[in-house]
Amino acid sequence: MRPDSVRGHLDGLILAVLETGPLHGYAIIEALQARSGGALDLPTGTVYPALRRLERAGSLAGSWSTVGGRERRTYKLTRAGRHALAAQRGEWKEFRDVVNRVLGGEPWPATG
Amino acid sequence: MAGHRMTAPVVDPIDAHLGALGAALHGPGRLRASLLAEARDGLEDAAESLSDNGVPRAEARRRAVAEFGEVAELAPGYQHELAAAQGRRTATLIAVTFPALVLGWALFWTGTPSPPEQTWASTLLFHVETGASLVAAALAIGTLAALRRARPIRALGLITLVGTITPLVCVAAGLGMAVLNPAHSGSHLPGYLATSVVLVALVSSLTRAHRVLVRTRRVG
Repeated sequence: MRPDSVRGHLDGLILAVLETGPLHGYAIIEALQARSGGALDLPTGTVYPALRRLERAGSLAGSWSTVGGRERRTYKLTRAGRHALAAQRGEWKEFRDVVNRVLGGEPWPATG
Repeated sequence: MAGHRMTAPVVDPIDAHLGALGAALHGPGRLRASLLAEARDGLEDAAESLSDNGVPRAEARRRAVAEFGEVAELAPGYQHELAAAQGRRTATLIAVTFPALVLGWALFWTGTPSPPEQTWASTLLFHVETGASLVAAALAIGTLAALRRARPIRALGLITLVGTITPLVCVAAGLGMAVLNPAHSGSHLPGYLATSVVLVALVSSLTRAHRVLVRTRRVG
């Protein structure tokens, strides 16, 4: 998939991956790749500043902790983040339905 | 020299990449270190994961760097975080110091046994100084909220401008009042000293903010 089309939805994808529980940066990248079946092909380094941006916006809470003998920064969804996720999900479904009605179906039978 | 092997210095690709990324980033040192530490963690994790899947170590580290992305495409995202952090620092300083100065001077006046004679000009200057200080503090609080948005460049630009204009207005008004009431200026020494300390802190913060603003605009 083209990185540009993914980039616009990166925030929502990250929030969705964190819905089930806190993860550290690389685990988030792995989860994004696993859940997209490897189709999500964006530079992994862009995910880390996106996490900080979502933290700044209040959607995520990040903290350093020792995981597996290494200092790692772990992120979890905040209450505001859950609201943001629900909103993005709603917008996405609406968008998908609209495009699907126009682009996805068979040609309409000619009338008259 | 027999037995001395010539070896090219081996630069680890992860070290080299983080060095290049770090050189492209400007802003508060603690956040910069934290961003780079997290990036290193991610790169080490990626290399480890590739090694676990049978990729030779050196190749795994090279591939981890390639998948991480070029410095030019990564720098803007990172730099925006640093710009937001610098904006937060400068805005907090402005939001705290200007009301503190207004309050400090007000207490100073009430504590003065014989307040200076008020002319309409000195009253006007006093109101200009107080008004500018309070407007600056209000704008700083607004900036703190705006800095939560994705692109912090405009908020950082605004607070840098407010932080530059307000002290100039206040110093000019203060000098004007001192000229209008020369007899009293000598007794204001503690107030002037405290104000000077605050101004030095402000100038230092603004210099940093301006530098970060210029660098952030450059990376886009």
